[in-house]
Amino acid sequence: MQSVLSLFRLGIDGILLNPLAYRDQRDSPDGLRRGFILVVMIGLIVGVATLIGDFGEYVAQPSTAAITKTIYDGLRAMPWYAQVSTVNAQFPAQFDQIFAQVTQVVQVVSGGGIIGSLVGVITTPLIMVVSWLFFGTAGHLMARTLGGRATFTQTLACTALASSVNLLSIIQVVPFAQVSGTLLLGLVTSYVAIRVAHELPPWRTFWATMLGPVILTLILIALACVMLVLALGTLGSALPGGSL
Amino acid sequence: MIDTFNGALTLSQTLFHGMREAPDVVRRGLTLVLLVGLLVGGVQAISTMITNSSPDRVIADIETTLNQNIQQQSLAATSASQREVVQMLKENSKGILSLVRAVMDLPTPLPRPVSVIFQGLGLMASTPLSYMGSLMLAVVFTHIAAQQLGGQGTIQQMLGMGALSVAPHALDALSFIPMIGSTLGVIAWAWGLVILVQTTSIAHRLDSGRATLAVLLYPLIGALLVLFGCCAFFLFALVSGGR
Repeated sequence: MQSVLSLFRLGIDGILLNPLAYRDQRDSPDGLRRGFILVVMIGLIVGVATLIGDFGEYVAQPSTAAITKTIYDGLRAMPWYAQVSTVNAQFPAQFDQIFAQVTQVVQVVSGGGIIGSLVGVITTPLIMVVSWLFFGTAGHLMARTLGGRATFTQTLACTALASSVNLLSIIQVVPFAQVSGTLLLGLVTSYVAIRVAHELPPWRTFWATMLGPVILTLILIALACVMLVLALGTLGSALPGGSL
Repeated sequence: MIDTFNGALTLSQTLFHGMREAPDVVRRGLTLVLLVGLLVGGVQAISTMITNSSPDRVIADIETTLNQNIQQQSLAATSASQREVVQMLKENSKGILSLVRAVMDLPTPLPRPVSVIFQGLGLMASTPLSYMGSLMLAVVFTHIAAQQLGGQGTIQQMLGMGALSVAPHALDALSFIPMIGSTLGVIAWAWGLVILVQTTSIAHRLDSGRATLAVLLYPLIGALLVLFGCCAFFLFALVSGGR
């Protein structure tokens, strides 16, 4: 219990950009082990908090199936539906197809409900560990290229402290709460982590910090383009004439 | 903390210099953001809970907004197709409101007041992070600009002291008041901007002119880019329409 509390305090120091905590992580022989446990612990806490919050939302809202059916019936009861159906006899079938596809997309985007949150208790720590390793490795390679002196272990120990920003996501324990602002704070904590670990000047630290997010953004843009093309293709095939 | 809050509002130089040298500058700054966020979020949550407790009032608000939108759209409609869309919206507005009413009347596992309370609590918990998100954006770009202009402050000093600019946003708690709510929001924003310039000047040891430039540089560049983008889009639309 004592070590969990000290880890929690370490995480808070990471969020508050305490340089002493980062230096301690860099110089401690068990900094990497402590960092790994911190990332996993925060992942588990956030996963459980999200599960509790999602359960609160689940019991305070109508079921997704009921909402979907009400919207479906409501849209069909409006005057525009009858007007378009009179002009185009195939419209009801096309409407059903598009509505089903939109419903599927909404379900995917909304995260899978309680089942998704249950799975999230396991996947959240895993995702946090993977992103910590990804950003830690990218930051380390760039910092070494720019003249940094820290070892890989020291970089990871410090960037683990930087990733404690994820602790702010704990507010998701409150149903309907939204997390915002953690992305930029995460970049700032990563900046402090790399600066302390490698003792680089400000601008070199800035570029070493930015490499990982830039690569990830490019990957996400590429993925978004692929998804957009696929979505347009699917939607196009559902519309009259078979193309947009 | 109340001294920090008052000092920030009155632009106390003693407080700003003391904060710059304090080892816990980030903790003090972020605690202020947390308190202002909880105050504003709490008041907004109560206001939202009162509104949402009555489905009739929610429907009436939506109806007012919908009618205003239709009116604006009909004034802006210049082509036949745009007028057709406005006409369709008018014909279907009752159906839209019936749909919203039907969704609101759906049964929930827990009674409706619980959902209203949960939504209020969610709003209250989210507000401090929402302020922090806006603050981080301002602080990061100001810090980069200040460094380019020769500033010497650390990111810890900039974040902790920049957080003081959130203090005037306590006025946002009164944003639910019709008419004066938005005016108070503008006052809070301008007051916060002045505090950010002052704190940037002290944190980075810059003169007032450079500190002002550091705060405004990237927002101005962003605004210019958006303006050029809009002009380019407008020209492109003109050229395409002319063919």
